[in-house]
Amino acid sequence: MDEKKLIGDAGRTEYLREIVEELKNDPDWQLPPPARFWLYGPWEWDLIYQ
Amino acid sequence: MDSPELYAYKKENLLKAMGRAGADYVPTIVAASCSAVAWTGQKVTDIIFDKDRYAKAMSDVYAQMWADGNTFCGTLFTQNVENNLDPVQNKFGPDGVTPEHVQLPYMEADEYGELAKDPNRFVSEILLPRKYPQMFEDREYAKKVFKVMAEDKFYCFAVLFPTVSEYMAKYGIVDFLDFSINFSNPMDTIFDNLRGFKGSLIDVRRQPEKVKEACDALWEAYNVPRFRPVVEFPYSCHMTHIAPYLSPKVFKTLYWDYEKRWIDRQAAGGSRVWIMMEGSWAKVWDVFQDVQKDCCILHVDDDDISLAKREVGDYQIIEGGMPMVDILLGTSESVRDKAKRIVDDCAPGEGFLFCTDKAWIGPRDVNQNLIDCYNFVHEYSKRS
Repeated sequence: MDEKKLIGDAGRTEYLREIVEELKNDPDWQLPPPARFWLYGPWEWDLIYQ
Repeated sequence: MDSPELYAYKKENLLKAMGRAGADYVPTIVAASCSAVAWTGQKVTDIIFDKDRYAKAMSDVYAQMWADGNTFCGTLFTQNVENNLDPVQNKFGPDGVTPEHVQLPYMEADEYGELAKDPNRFVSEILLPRKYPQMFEDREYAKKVFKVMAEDKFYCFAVLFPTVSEYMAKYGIVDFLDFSINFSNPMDTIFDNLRGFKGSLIDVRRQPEKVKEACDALWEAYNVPRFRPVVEFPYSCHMTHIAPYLSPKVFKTLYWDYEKRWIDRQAAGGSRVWIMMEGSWAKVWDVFQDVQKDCCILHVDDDDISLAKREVGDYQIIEGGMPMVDILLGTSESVRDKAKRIVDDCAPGEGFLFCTDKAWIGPRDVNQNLIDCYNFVHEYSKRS
């Protein structure tokens, strides 16, 4: 895996946070914003447990 | 009684039993995962996306079976997660009913220092790339993962759980736990999320100081931010995992300190906690004398309920009694005899909630023996 290829120099955590911020405001996503509560964290623990 | 009246009556009786204040009978507690769906002849995976059909299937059995309280009735995920993420630790088995958990630990033994430095960042920076490397190679895939998880959590927590509660309330069954304020002991967080069964148990022997340092960091980074203002009812809860595998000495050093902090916090707010004492806790029951009387509802799993009643039942509330193996393999008569002995031993002095030892997770767990047992305990305990 090329760890730097997509995540840039800011770090992996920041890369994931950037995606999360984008999704919180994604107008094309059918899930209404109030229903997106999981994105407000702590999502890293749910992902590692799931 | 109509539903609201029945609900109010059952709730009052449940609280009286826990408060040793003259309950009319011993409350019976639902220990369901999704097994009740199989009792209706359906698979969970076939109906889960029709919330009303699923909630009806989860609750239909209570038209025939007396039950007072509910601890956990439902699922934390749908098959949408496993259909979109690989690998996963949690999924439905091939029968479409049984939730299966396969531990996939990604943390190495020499990484406690990194964990202790910043637990949240350690997971997102180090462990997630190991588990889901594609998320760090393909931005669109990472977006899809977040969307699938967010949609699934919304559906399970904000749609399915409330709908099932609504259907259960028609039978007066009271949800007395709030899983949104679920507690995880730092040692269980390490066990469940990071090092797994084998790794955790080796670590507590070979590097206990580093484990303790990580537990302290997890308390600050994982537990404290999750605390909410204490509410009197429903109660916070804890599904424990690693405790029965620790020696009493290690339990008291690495586990109990954090557990007690949580219990004391809830008790100081006038509430209670429910603890699923998975496995055997008999060697450490004495610790519950160090917290406020009757602030813990202790679900007894592998330990003998009559012994638990004698040893711990005078100062904490105990729950459990009927082994699922008896429900699955016993006759109607043997189950009734066992239930009678349990009520005779545990009902005096109150502070006792009848339940099975294990949760109802498999397709055969909700059956006629279980229905007859719960109905018998309700009727028999009125007279005891």
